[in-house]
Amino acid sequence: MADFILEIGMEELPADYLKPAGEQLAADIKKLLDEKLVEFKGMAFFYTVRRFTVIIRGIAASQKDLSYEKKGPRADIAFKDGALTEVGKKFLASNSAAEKDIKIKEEKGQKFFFLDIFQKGIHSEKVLAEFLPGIIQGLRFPKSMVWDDSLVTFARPVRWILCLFDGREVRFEFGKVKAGSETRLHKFIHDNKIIKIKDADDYLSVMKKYGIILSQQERRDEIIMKAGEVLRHKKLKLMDDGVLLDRLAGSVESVTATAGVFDERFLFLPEEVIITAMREHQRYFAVCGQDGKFTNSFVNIRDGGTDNNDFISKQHAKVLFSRLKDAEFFYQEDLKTPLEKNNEKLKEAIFITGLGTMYDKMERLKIMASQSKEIFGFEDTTTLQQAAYLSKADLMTNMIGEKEYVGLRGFMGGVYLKNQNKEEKIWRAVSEHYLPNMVGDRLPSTQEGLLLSIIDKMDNIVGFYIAGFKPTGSKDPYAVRRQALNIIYIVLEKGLDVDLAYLIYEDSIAYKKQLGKDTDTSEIIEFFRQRQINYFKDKGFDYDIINSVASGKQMNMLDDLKKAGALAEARKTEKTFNDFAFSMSRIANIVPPKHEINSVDKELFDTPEETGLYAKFENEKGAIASMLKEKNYTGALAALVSFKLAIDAYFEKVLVMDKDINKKNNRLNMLAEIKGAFYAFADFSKLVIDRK
Amino acid sequence: MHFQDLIFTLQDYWKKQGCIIAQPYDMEKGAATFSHSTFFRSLGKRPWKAAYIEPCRRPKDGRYGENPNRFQHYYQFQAIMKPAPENIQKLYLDSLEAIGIKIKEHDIKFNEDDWESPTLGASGLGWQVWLDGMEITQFTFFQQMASITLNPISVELTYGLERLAMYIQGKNSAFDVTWNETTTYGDVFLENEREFSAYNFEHADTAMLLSTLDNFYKEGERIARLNLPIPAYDYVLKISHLFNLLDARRAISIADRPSFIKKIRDLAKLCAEGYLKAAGEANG
Repeated sequence: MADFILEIGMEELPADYLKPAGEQLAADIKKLLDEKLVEFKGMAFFYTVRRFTVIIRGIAASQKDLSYEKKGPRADIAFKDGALTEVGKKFLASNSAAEKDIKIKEEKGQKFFFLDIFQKGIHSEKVLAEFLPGIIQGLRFPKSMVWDDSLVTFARPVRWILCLFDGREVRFEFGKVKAGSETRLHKFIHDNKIIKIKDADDYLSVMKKYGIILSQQERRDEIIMKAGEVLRHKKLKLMDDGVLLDRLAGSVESVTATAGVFDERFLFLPEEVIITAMREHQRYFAVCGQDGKFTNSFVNIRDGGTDNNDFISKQHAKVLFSRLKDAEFFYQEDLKTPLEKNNEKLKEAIFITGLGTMYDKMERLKIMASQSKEIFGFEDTTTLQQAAYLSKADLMTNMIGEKEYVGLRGFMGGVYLKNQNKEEKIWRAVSEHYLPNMVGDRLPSTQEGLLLSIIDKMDNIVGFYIAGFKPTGSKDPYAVRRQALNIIYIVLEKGLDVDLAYLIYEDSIAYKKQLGKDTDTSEIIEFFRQRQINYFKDKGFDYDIINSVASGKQMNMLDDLKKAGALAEARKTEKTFNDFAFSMSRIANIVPPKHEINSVDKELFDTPEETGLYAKFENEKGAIASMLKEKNYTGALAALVSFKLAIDAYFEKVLVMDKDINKKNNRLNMLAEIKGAFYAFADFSKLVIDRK
Repeated sequence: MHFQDLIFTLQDYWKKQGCIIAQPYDMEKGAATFSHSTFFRSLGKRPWKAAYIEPCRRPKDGRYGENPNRFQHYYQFQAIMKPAPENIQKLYLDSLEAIGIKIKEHDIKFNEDDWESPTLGASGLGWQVWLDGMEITQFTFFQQMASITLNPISVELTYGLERLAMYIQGKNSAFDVTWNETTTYGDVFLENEREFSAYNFEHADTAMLLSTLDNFYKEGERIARLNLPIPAYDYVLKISHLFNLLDARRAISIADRPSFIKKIRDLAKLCAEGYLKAAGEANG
C-alpha cells in the first residue's frame, strides 16, 4: 500500500472558485479510482489561492484483477459446417482468445459461445497518468482562460504539477506543464522557490515548515487568531463576517494581520457605507468595541511577511481615507436635495430593454400599490403608494449611482428619507424592499416593506417574460427564478393571504396599459407553480399531495400549504385515506369532461343510496363551503372524508350510466355538482392511491 | 525617485527583458490598450514585445485639478508581451523591485479581475495588483481583441504612473509629485486639468461633436473597406474619444449608449480583420 499526492500549482485563482473546484477534483479522482477498481484507504484534499492538493492514503499498487465469463454470439451463428464463421473469429480476436478457449453454454434453450476472461490489473500509476490530464481539464470554473498555445484552459495559468505515487513521479502532461516531483514555496516569503518533494508526508512537512497553510479552515482560524492579537491591546474585536473571512482565507497561503484606523470624522456616515467601502472595495474587516459598537479601526490581512507592518497599515489607511472621502462627498451632496427630486432622472434610466424606463416601472409599482386592498387585503394603500413612489429614487443619487455602492440601493433611499423626516413606515419599506436576497435571508420588517418587495419582484418577473428573458434550462441571467422563490418565501414565511395569479394578471394589465405590451400570464403562473412544487418538496411534502393542491386558476400558496398540511396529516392518521382518495377520483372520473351540467332532479332518484348521498351533500355543502371560506382546511377535509361510506355505497348500488338517458344525465349532474364542491379543496384526482 | 526617473527605470527594465521601447501613438485614447502597439500587435501569430508610456484621456474623470487623484489626462506605462512568458509574474514583481518597491516589505495582492473593453470588443482575465491596498497595475492575459479569439495569448501589464509616483514619493496629491528636482507634476498639468475639465464638462459643442462623430464613423468604414485598416483605425480612436467627450457632456442617453459602443466595436473589428488579412492571417 502506497501514498499518492497530486498538487496543481497555479497563479492566483479567485477565492470563490477554490472550494467548488477543489471538491470536484477530489470527487473526480475518487470516481476514477472506483471505476478503475483501484482500492485506497483514505483521501484528503486542500486548496489555497495557488494550489489544489489531493492526497490518497493506502492506495493499491495496481487495479484489482478481473475474472469473469464473457458471453459471445450464438453457437450456431459463430460455428457452421465444422468451422468458425466470421462472427466467431471476430469474437475470439477481439478478446485475444483461441478456438480452444471456447466454452459452449446453454441459456434459455439456446447455445452460446463463452470465454473465461482474466484481466490483470495494470499499475495504478498508469491509470492515474492516463486520466489525470482529462480530470484537470474537466474542472469547471465560472470563467476559464487560455495562457499559451497548448490551448488548455483553467481559471488562471497552471505553472507546475507535483504528482508522486509511492515516492515515484507519475508522468503526464497538462498543456506545457510536465508533472514531476517539485513544488514551489510561498511566492513572497520564500521567493516562489522550487523544492523537491519525496512523498506525501514530506510534502505536508515542507508546507508546514515553510508556513503554507493548506487547510481553508485553518487559515480561517488563523485569521481570527491573528486579528485578535492585533486588536487585543486596544480592547477591540472583529465584527463577524463569515463571507469576507472565507474570501480572505481563500486569498492567502499564510496569514499576517495588520490593524489600522481611519479618521473619526467619517463616523457620521451610515455604518453600512463605511463597511461597504472597507469590505467590498478594500477587503478589510470592520472592528467594534467589546460592547459591539462600531469603531474607526479596521483589520487588513496580508499574505505572510512580518516586516514593515506599521508602514503598511498607514498606507492602507490612506487608501481608505480617499474612499471614505468620496463616500462623504456623495452623501453630503445627496442630502442637499430631497430624495424625490431624483424621480425625474429615472426617466433617463432604462429598466429592461424595450420596456421603458425606471420611471415607468416606478409608476407601475404605484398602480399595484393602489390596488393592494384588492390584491393583498391591505388597507393603507396611501402609505404603500408613497413608498412605491419613492422606492427607486435612490438609484439616481450620487451614492448609488456610483456602482461601488450599488449594493446599498434601497437602504440609502431609506437613510435619505429618514433624514427628511418621512414617516417610518415609508422609509423602512423603501429601505428593505430589495430583501430577501435569497430564501432564508432576512425579510422586510414591516407589512409595507413585504408588500413592496413582492410588488417590485413581480413587476420584474412579468417584465422579463414580456421582454422575452424568461429562464430556460440553466440560463437565467436575470435571476428570475430566484426572485420567484423569494416571493414564495415571503408569502409562506409571513403567511400572506394573496392570490399571486391575480397579482400577475393585474401586473400584466399595468404593462399593457402603459407600454402596449403584455404576455401570456398562464405561462408565468405555470412557472410559479414549478417553483412552488420545488419549494413544497423541500418542505417534505409528498409530490402527489403537492400536485393536488398546486393547481387551479387561483394561486394562493398559503392556502395550498395549509391544504397540503391537512392532506399530509390525513394520510398519516386516517387509515381510510387511500379509500377516500379512491372515492374522490371515482366521482371525478365518471363525469365526462363534456358533460353539460344541469340542476339535479330529485324526482328521478330511485335508490336509497342515491337519495342518501345527495341528502348528506345538501345537508353539509353549506358547512363545507364556509369552512373552505374560513380556511378551516382540517375541518373541511374531515367533512369530505365523512362522505366515503355514502360514496362507496352509491357506487355499489347505483348504475350511473343507466339506459334511461334522463336518469343517467341526472346522476351525472349530481356527481358533477358534488365534484365541483369537493374539488374546490384540491384536485384529488392527482393523489396517488397506494393499493398495497 | 522623480516622475521622469520612474518612467526611465521602467523603460530600462523592460528594455532588458527584450521589449522595444515604443513611443506613444499621436492621438487621443482612453487607455494604452488602444495604442497600435497593443491593439494591432496582440492580433495574429507574430511574436511581439513592447513597452511604452501612453498618455490617456478620460474626459469624464476630470476634476478641475481639485481631486488629488483623478484627472482627465494621465499616463499609463504599458508592457505587452506575446506570447506571454511563463515567468511573467516574476518579471512583473522584479519590475517593482527595480523602481524601489521591496516585495518582502509590502502587502502585495493579486486580486482577480475580469477585464473587458466593450468598445474594443476585448476581454481578458488576470488581476488588479494591489500594493498596500492601492491598485497599481492591471495584469491581463488577453483572450479576445476586436471580438477575435486570440492565439497566441498576449499579456498586458498596465501601470498607473501617477499613483505609483505618489506612493514612492509619499505624496498625497499627484500635483505635488516631483517631475525632476525643480518641476512638479502640477507645474506641468494643473492648468491643463482646469481648462480641459471646463471644456469637457461645460463648453464642448455637442451638436458639432455628434455630427463629427457621424462623419468620422462613415469615413472610417469607407477606409476600412478599401483594405487600409491602419488608417481606418485612426477613426476608431477619434470616434471613441468623441464618444467619451459627449459622455462627459451628458449628451448621450443611457438608452443610446449601447448603439454608440457597438458602432465603435464594429469598426474596430473591421480594422482588425483587415489587419490580419494584410498579414496573411485572415481569421487569425
